[in-house]
Amino acid sequence: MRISPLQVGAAFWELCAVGLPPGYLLPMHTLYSLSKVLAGVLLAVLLGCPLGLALGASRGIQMALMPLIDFIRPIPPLAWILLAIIWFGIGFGSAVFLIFLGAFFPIVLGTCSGVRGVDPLLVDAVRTLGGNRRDIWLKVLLPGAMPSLLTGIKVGTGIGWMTLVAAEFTGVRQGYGLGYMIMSARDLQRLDAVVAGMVGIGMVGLALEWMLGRIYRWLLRWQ
Amino acid sequence: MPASLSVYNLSKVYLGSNNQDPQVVLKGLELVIPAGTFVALVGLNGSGKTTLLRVIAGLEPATSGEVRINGERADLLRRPVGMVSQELALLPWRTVLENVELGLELQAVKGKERRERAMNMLRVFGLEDCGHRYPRELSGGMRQKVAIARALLPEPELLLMDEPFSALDCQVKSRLQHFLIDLWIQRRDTVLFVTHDVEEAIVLSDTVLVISQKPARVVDVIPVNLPHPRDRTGIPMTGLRRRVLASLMLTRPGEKPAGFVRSNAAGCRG
Ligand SMILES: Nc1ncnc2c1ncn2[C@@H]1O[C@H](COP(=O)(O)OP(=O)(O)O)[C@@H](O)[C@H]1O
Ligand SMILES: [Mg+2]
Repeated sequence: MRISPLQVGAAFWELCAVGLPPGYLLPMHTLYSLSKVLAGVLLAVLLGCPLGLALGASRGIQMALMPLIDFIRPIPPLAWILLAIIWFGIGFGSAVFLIFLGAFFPIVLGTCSGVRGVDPLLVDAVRTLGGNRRDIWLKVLLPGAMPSLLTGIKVGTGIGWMTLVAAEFTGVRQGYGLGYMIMSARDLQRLDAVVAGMVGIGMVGLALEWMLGRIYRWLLRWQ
Repeated sequence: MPASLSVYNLSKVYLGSNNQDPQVVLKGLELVIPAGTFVALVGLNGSGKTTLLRVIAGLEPATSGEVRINGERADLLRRPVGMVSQELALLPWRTVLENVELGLELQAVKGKERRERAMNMLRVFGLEDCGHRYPRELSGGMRQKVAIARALLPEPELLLMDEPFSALDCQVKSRLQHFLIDLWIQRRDTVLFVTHDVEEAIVLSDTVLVISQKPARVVDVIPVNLPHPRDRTGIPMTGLRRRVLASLMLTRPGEKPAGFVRSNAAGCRG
């Protein structure tokens, strides 16, 4: 089976205008997928940043938890699918969980190495000026860890987006999702639509990357 | 208000990790600095100068002995001191103004008053146009000024300076030395200024303390009774330089003081 860019373009147009299955349009697929990725990444940030901060600040916590983290980290999200369905049911919850798994570890490790990379002399400067532990966290460790933390979020978002197709293997309730759409196209032997869906995923990934890049450049304008 | 500083029988031992030997860095060190005096502390590299300042600032616990600020134990009641470290330690994500404000911010001084006082301090330092810039955008000399301004803004009782000018080129260095001394003449802070540059010590201070190689203790106290501004090449300066160098060299067994004096006489002059 061969396929030309022209056919992919035509399929792309069809996905936008007619939809696959008919009525289910590409922008809506994208929106549903984005919402899952956003939820998964947000969850990963909310849990991963504090864990990363704790790991970076305390040798004890690090020694206790690092083996566990290194044990779970290499297990691919795809392998979790069945467990995810058992725990969170078909649909949104499972998908978010799988995306969370993909995004979580880069965020934890980025935050952790960020905290550890902060120059201890900066901490001393704040201490001599009368700062307490809270000040040290808010005014030195957190901002100092920011570049590495943001890189972790960026990498995590990328991996989360990559996990999307696997995540939607768990099924979708409302019939929407880019990964789900690609699987439907595959079942219909519509290679052109599969490739068009891949192009869509790539484009959204690119847009996400670009947006995060803009935000980061503003946040890290001091660098 | 500038306070007096006294250090009694101070020792600091770093217990080496695992198979390292413990390092005795300070041993029985004593010094007294009356309020409002500028004291320079000279010692060779690795003699323990930074360690001494860190103990005085309360960043490291002393192994034994005590540090008193205005007669009160500094380790019991921690009081903020002004510290300008070798590496400056400006927060790179804060602008110049935000860095200078930091001390007042930590004391919960309200935003408007804080900003005003910081701006005034920047004006004193001739940095009023750089308030919005980030440290990386400044020259070395300007960064140095920012670090000093940050240390001075909360009006510390004690200003500790750890080789603050050692990374600067000659011209900038002597300009900043003059600036610092003019500022001190107006403010009369209690300053402990650490340096390995003998000329700098004599140009700036009321008293030069010479400390020995590790384990460090004070081996010579040399009063500098010269009015400011001081002529770096004048005869009194040369005599003082000879004396400080001689004491310094005695701390290093097997060295001949005279030869060092001559080879060093061609050093940088402002
Ligand atoms: N945290 C530390 N642990 C072990 N040894 C240290 C530590 N800090 C400093 N030292 C030792 O103390 C000695 C004096 O260091 P330092 O105070 O930095 O000297 P100076 O500032 O005079 O150059 C050095 O020999 C160094 O090896
Ligand atoms: Mg030093």
